[in-house]
Amino acid sequence: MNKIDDEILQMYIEESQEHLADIEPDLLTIEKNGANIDEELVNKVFRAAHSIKGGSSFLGLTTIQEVSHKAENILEMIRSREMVPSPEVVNILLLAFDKLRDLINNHQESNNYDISEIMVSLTGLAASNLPDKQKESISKEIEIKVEGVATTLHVLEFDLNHAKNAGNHIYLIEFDLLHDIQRLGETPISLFKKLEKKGIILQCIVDFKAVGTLDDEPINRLPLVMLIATKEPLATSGELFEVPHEKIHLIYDPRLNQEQSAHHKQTENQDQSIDLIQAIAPAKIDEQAKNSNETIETDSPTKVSPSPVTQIETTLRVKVGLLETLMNLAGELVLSRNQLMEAITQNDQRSLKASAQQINLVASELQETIMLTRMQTIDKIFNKFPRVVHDMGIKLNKKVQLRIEGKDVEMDKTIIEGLSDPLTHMVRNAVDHGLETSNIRAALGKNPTGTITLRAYHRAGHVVIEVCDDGKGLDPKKIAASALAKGLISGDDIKMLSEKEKMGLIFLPGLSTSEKITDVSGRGVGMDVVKTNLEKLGGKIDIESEPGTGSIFRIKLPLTLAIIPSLLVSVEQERFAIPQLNVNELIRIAASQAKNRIEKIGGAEVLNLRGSLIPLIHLANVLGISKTYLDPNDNKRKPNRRNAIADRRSKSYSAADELSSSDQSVGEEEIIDQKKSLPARDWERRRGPDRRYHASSDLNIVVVTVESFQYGLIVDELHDTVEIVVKPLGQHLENAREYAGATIMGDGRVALILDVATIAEMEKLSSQAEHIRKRESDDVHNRKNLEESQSFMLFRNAIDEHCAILLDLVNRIEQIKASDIEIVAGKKMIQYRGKNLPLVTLSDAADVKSLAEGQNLVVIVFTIYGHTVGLLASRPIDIIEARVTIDQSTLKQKAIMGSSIINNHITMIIDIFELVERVYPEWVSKNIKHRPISDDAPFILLAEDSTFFRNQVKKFIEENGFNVFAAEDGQEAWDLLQKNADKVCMVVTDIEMPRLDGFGLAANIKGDKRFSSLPVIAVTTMAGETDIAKGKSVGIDDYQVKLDKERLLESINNYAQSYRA
Amino acid sequence: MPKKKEIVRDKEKAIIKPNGDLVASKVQKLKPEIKSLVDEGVKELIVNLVDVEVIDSVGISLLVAAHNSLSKVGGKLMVSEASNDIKDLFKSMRLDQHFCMSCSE
Repeated sequence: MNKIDDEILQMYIEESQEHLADIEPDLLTIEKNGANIDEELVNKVFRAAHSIKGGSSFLGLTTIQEVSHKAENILEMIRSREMVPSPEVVNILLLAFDKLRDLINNHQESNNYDISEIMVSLTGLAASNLPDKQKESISKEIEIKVEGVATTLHVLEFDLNHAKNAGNHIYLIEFDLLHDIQRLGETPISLFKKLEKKGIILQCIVDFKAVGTLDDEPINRLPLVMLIATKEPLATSGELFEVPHEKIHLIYDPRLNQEQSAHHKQTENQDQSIDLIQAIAPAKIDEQAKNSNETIETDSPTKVSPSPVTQIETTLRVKVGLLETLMNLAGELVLSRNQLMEAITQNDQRSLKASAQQINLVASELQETIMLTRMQTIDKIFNKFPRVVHDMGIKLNKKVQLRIEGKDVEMDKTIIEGLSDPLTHMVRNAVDHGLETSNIRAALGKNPTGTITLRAYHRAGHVVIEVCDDGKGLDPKKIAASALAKGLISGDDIKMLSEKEKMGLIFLPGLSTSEKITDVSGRGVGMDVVKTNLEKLGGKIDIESEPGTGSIFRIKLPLTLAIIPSLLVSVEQERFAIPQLNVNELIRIAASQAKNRIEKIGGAEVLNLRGSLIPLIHLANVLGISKTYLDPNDNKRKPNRRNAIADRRSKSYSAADELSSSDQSVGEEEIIDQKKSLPARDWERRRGPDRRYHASSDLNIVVVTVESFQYGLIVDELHDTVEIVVKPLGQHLENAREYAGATIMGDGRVALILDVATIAEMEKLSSQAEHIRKRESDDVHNRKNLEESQSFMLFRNAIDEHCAILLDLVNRIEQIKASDIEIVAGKKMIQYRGKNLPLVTLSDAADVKSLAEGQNLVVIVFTIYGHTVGLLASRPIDIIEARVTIDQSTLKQKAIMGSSIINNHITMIIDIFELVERVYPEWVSKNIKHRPISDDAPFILLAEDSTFFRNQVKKFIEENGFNVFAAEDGQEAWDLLQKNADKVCMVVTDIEMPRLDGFGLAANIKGDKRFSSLPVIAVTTMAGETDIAKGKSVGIDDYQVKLDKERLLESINNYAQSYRA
Repeated sequence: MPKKKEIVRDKEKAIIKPNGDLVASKVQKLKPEIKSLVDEGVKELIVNLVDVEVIDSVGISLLVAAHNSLSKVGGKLMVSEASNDIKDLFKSMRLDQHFCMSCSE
């Protein structure tokens, strides 16, 4: 083929592909409209088929021409309203266009393709509608001629082969309806019904000529020849009807696997194209005719199945406007180059700078514009889903509608191409596994028609694609059970997984939850492939699912792959790029904090990041770079032998510790050796500031995300984020899997791009992650056994005195200067917002060191007994939520409730009431002044599961002159109450308690005649509206916040008085 | 009410509706009627089979003969409102490729 032909062919192929791309949605719309035809639309599809046909005949693509011709015929019938585009009709058309697409994609081979199947479907479709004249337009026929039979039968080769392949006997029977049937009193209807039961009538020809016309008298012949395929041999002719033996001819016997007593001659229809083939290769046809047996039995060499190799597009459509912009930019680039050349020859620094700037500008614009040419709208892949969903719906007998949103979202061509398969799989899954059948949906009260939504949108520099269904949703338990049953995960591991992680198990290779394997999906391969494919594109997949209401599969993808924003880091002077996509956050840990934040679990170092533990890796170790440090002595780099990040043996860092702390993480003996071996002067130097606590030893950690877990990469330096152009690595670096590629930096040096997923894999982090998860879950488990969680505000009194106070009591924090404090009448005061704010310090009541004064002074403001009061404290201030056990004996003294270990420090828990009472005793209202407990004092029943609170509240109440029965839970309180029914005058109860909660206790009390008038006061950490309402409904008389001693006691006194009265 | 045989004629077009099964006994009477229609210049003959339950070989041969006669003069035979059984039969015999089976009147 010469060049011009080549070009024409190329143009034809592209044009046809475009036509085909638009056809599917149009055909589906045509189907939806049914008999109510939108002529414009039918015309559009018709024209597409027509232009495909037109070009094909010119280019000698015969198979394409034949199929498109037939498709065009059907469309013509639809257009002229001879045929209603029923689902069957449209289905065949869709198949025909599929075939065309196949043929066009493989146009070089297309003439050898087997198109008989689709041709038969199309012809059958047309034949059922065709007028007589066109009935000959049948594709490929085989002539069957039997000696002694006048009529020759033409039968579609396809039909014949099909019947043979199914192991049928094929008979040619000739009989006369009038002679052979009518005489026996059998009607043709019952005869043909019998025959149809027996087998398939492949062809039947009524000899019209023999019948004659109305003028011939009488009509006495109605001869008939038929070809019938039967599973069972026709044993005797009498089995069906009286036909003489010699009139039944066995054409094909599957047992002998060959034709008998007949020879076929392959004939073609009148189509020129077929003649053309014959003209081209007559020898071949002859040969086929001779050995038709073989050609039918085995795959003939002329039948080629479409190669499964997907066609990669070699051309791209670009908007003209974009091309023009590119042209303009190229022009500008040339201009700038000229300016630059000029500036260089003139050695003009000023214009040199100007043209450099100009080139910089043009280059970046050029880059952006060129990237735009690669951007394609996502509807390119979305467009095929109406068809996929339509076909699946038919196949699975489900009613499905597809909604597509965000067709116009643009993405890089490479990503769009790579997205096609994973998305198809997900959509098929959604229809197959996600949606219930119409009956089930109706029974559940859902719309019987399921909805699949495909949605694409931009979010934070990424494209998000969602595949949503409103089906049954994912059942995490079922998935976990399935994974367990298939041995993909151990039972212990499952216990540790969250619901979401369980759903994530569907990405494990070999997992399928569908009870039965369908031919659509459910073979257990797929979701893992989907995930890997998406990850190759730099995408992430996430599942959101609610049982009963549906699932959302969300894919997050970068806009483009060729240029990616990356974080530059360096290790030992070498720079590396980490794709920003993988980077979660950057953390710098001061050397002095390292050992607080970093722990060792199972030999691996982990970082405590907001409660979750993240494994850490030294990038230098992974890449095999020897670590060095800069010796402050002589400014030379020396090898660093430290491996442990955090040295657990060293004590807390403080000025005093520095002197005694040992150096580096070497063994004790070694230190002694060093002491011996090092000259005295050197040892002295080492006693100075430790290198470990030097700012240069601060840890820079890049927290990266891989699949489902995070890890930290320890690097020497963090640089900025730059856009890098990814260059593939050479073959010689093929096995260096830790690198994803390379890039050239602005300064011309090469930086390698790290593949964080492979690094995690190489370091076997996933197994570590499991270990850590176990540890985390242990923590949670342990905590549950402890006291209930409380929020504390942490502060210092003296620099080394850690204090904590319940956060609930704190009003606010104010920063003040030491000079603002005035001492009036022996009491500290501060002017605050035009008022006097009285101040107290811990040392006013307790035997503690005096407050550290200086920069770090703050005032924690409380409202106690109706007065606003400030507690002087020292920073740092922190707030923690902790489940702490409070030691109420060791450090107990005035104003200090007890102590606990918080963040590895012994911390005093402050009793602000006691402190204030001590300094301002006159504030305490008279009715809650301490009263000694008299013998006949009434009892108050106190139910509280937290030992700490129970003791605190008990103390308040006792100080107020009541006896207390303390119970650890509601049940115990109820038992106590029944034993001491006459003594108890009031109940104070917590809400959240084991066995019997506060609501239950109140309900018991109020429901019992003996106690129904007994006041019940509930104490909670937080009283919400709904809780109060619920409490009221079970008869709780009052709500008080725990440890608001003042109001609680007032309430107790009020109720005690009214109860006594 | 006994079913009525109807013949409607409009120039070159005629509709004939046999009032019972298309079997040997009826064909005797029907044949000359169709013949006369064709002789009178009818080119388009529609045989309405709405009242026909059974058709026998003779009935079929009548339709074939009528078709042949009409073909000679450039006309055509059409069948309308056939029962499903008859439609199936015609399909099996490939007669549907000769007669227009679903013509509206």
